Amino acid sequence: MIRIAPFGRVLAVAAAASLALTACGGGEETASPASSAPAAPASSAPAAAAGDGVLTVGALLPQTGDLAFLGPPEFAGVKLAVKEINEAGGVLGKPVVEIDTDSGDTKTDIASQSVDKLLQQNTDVVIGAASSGVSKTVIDKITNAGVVHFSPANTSPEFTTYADKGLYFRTAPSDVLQGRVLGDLIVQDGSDTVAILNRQDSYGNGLADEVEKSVSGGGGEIVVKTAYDPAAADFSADVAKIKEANPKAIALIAFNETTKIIPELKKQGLGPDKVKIYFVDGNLADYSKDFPKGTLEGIKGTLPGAKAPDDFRQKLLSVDPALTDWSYAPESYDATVLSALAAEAAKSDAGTAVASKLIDVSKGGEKCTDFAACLALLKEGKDIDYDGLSGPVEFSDAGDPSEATIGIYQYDAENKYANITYLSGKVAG
Amino acid sequence: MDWTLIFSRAVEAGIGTEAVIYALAAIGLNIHFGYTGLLNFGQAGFLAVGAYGVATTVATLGLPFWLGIVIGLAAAVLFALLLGIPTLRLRADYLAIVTIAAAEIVRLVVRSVALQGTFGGTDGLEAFSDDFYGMNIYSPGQYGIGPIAFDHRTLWVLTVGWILVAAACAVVYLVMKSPWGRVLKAIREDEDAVRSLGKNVFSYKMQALVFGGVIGSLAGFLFALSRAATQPDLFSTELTFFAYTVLILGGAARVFGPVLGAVIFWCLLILVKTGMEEAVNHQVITFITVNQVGSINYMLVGLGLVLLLIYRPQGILGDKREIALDAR
Amino acid sequence: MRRAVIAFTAFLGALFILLASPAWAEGESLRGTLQNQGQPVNGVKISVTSGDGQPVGEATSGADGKWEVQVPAAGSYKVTLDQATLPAGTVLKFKDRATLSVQVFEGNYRNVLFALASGDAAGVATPPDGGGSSAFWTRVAQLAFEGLSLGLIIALGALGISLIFGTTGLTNFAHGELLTVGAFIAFVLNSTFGLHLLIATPLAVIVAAGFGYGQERFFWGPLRNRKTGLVSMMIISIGVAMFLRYLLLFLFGGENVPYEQYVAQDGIKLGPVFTTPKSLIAMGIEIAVLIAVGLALTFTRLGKATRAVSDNPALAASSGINVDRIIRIVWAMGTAVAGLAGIMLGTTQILNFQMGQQVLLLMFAGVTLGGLGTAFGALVGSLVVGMFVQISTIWIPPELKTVGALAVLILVLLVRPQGILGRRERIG
Repeated sequence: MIRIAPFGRVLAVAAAASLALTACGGGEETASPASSAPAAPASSAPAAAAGDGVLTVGALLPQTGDLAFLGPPEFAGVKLAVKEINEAGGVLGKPVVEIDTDSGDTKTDIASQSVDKLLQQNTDVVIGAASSGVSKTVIDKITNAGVVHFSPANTSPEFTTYADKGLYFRTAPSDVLQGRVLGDLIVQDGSDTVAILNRQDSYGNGLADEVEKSVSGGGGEIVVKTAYDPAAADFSADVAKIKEANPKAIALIAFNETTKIIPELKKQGLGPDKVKIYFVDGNLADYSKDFPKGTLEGIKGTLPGAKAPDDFRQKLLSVDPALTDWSYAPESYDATVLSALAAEAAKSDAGTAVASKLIDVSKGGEKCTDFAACLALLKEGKDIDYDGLSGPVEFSDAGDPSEATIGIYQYDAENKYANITYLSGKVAG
Repeated sequence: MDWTLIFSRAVEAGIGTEAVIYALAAIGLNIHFGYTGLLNFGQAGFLAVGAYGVATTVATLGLPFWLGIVIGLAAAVLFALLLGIPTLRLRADYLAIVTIAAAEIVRLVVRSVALQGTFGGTDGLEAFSDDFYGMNIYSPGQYGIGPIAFDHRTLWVLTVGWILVAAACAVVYLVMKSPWGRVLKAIREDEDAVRSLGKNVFSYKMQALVFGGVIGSLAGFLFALSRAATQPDLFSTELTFFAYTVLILGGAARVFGPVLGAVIFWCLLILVKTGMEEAVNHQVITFITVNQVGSINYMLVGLGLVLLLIYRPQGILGDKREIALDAR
Repeated sequence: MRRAVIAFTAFLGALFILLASPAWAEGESLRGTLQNQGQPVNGVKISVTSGDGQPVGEATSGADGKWEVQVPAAGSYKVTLDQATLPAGTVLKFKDRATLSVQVFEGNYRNVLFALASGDAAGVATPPDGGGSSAFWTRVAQLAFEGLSLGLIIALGALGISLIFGTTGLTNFAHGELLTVGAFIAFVLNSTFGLHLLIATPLAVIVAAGFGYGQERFFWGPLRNRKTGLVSMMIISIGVAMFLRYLLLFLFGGENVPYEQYVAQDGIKLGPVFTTPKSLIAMGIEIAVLIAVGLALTFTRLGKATRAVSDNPALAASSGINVDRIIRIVWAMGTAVAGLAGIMLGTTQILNFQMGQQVLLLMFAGVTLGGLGTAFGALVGSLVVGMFVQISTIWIPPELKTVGALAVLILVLLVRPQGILGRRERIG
């Protein structure tokens, strides 16, 4: 028995379909958008290439997901920068507009939708994302729209050589540097057999490779290198594999899985009292609420970025009084200020124009350290060299900082980390 | 609150890439579930196979784009065969569990470290879409009416996508009118009766699985190409469940059901999401944070699926007598 | 090409730092500390030559084992340890690594490590401890133990799935969330109301039982009375799962949270196996509960009635069993046991809104392997799955361990679709 839809039903379907479309407020356009194709860019359409006179900064930073703990200081850094820029008169005579969106993590499609929203709102510079994995998923989308993709926290070495149309920049140094520092730290502490347990993504694998090079180059031996699945239900098998190799030191390159891995390490007799454990920027966080006292005591870790000066911390607190963590706040601040300066130098807020001046304002010229002073110099027609809070910020041609600072930290009995020292160096020859 | 933004985002989502991808995924599912009564909970696996087929061929192996499409389609057929052999003789709930497991296997394998050189691990692959965008018929710029606008790349994806949707609908319409399609529907209604008429039920089910899977892999191509990147975790079980919601909302066993479902689903979803985000950002709603909007959205999808099945299992277009919801 | 560039960059960068140390100074140098078994080794000669063989400098390790050689500029250097100067009984751990090539960068120190070991005069280092094969068997034992631990948790969850399926025919995709809900009820009692976990756990299990009873009484029962189809209900359960999962995300956020007690306990050694007191107690509770449920099903009136309903609801009803009541009890008990499994999982691992979803497929694998609808089959199947998942990591990368279990599930269905203990008729 075949049921052939009667004509009336077909009509009803069509009516329902068009009704649904209309209900959504749109009307008829674009089931076949080709017909409207030649239409000149509509007046209200995002001005990707031309610029609309207002510098719009879109923050694409983690509010949810694996790196949510990095979100608040990064947002605060951007907000503080925008506030100071606007107090100094804004860019091109108009206040800078900031739009906050969530970058989520790679398990979700949030970042892609956030970018759509940002592009819709005429964003000229996207500040984000925190995770290298997330940035990789949106970099094509952002740069193809002629918008600057400026990350304060991506450290994956892959971005140095990515085909980004000259629109990708970052204020965080590539992990080549962090890996080198961490490896040397391990060697200095005298561990000749080292295990690396890393998160399986571009961040974890990239950093693990650099640590391995550095440790073996300095005479140590990597006895086991395991990448774990961040979504795994438990880590006992991964830890058992490390246990079998019996290392003297473990480099734990992880995000928030750390709260599951540390108890497992302790259980299998690999706690910080038995072997030397090292954290990295992905998991160097305040664990005072997660673990009983003394759990992490003695663990060391590395984190790119200079010390956030006390007055900068006070200013950040005025933006977000709930802040307890400062990771990547200076980098976010610098990224925003640099974008504003580049827009001012280019006399345009368009993404491509900003990108063309970003390297210029970061080096080679009269030094200045805050937006107001730099703006004054620019208005006098001088070439400037912005030295930021995260370091001297001298961009290489690939848009990476060529000099950077890495902090070395150690956990105390309260499971909070405190700085031991800062080291500066050139990222690459 | 920026009402223009809210409504334009909603309309864009309703006709945008999300709607196209889910429409195609749900059309495939419609062939499985709506017409044949196969409870395939592994549609995400077909999308993953398609997306990774093209991405791996182009990005990892450096072969031409069209070969990637062919490989993606072939992989979808192969996946359907592998999936079908152990499961199609089993009861509906076994089939559901096995298909969901198979889709998870695909996801876990493509995200594994061991095969990172091939599939890119948890970050997935990118830099495979240049050839596709190289065929773009639109010159760079923004196209649209009023606040509803797409850039030339998105517009190209949408053009291809909606043509594929239209083609898939046409094929489904013709096929389901044919004797072959009538056998499928008969299998859904009473498998034993069909068997007693001398038809090879297993073979028909397998053909349906392959057919729907191939359409699912088309959705996978678009998913990967529209984002110019592909990641394993986008193909989690949630994708399948969203596709089911889309299908049931629009009406299963109806040619236009999945399409209508996808458009309305995404329109509403983004309307609610953007609306709530704006409301929170402008302090209209103060008891939740922006971070919680995402979870509310998912809760609404779950709730919507429950309510639909209880009160209107045939969806908007469907016929209650034609839904295989009582099979065991 | 990109790889080549990265490698080149890394090579150029191969080093750079030196740590907080009184010896910090401008200029480049190489330095290190010689240690054997934690004791400094002094009087060892280290010589440095430039990349093309020109001698640069020498140093002898001091009483603290430290040595340092200044180098004139950044560049590549060869560092050689003179093995003849090593004290008796101390040798290089790797004899072929007496000379290392290292890169020194502008303005930076570079640490160099020579691994030392105790050895005889011939220079053959004695293995530091144990043999390779004993470490391997220790790992196997550890994995088997972990497998049992995981299998028991899966079994608790699978029991509920199996009984609910047996009595109502529903394949409940929301069962994973019942674990999560139980775990978070305990979390609220534990964290918000400040009850010790030992008190919070039984209370949470009771609340979970109430939640299960209510779910059946006010949701699934009425749906069945409306003659809602089984496939319909299966898809409804997916909606319920999504709703519950994201409700928990909404309420508790996406972070990993621990209970107040028993976090990060120190390991204890039990023969070859490392474990924690809390895991042992958790496993004890799990075994006790499983045995209790098993005995109840076999010997009590209620248990027999449950099995009768599971076998044939119509026949059970006609022989005077109140089927609805049995189903409600099964739901209450299944949810309570699942909640307990969630709490145990949260105690031994950590709480997260996705924790139940992550084991759902393993529970299904256990149930299917044992045979849908048979309580004891679910138990056996779950233990097999748990063991298989953990032990398989000896041969496959740990991140693929779930794949192994799922693949086995599919293979079993190929050769024995009714599962280990299932009956032929059930596969339809």
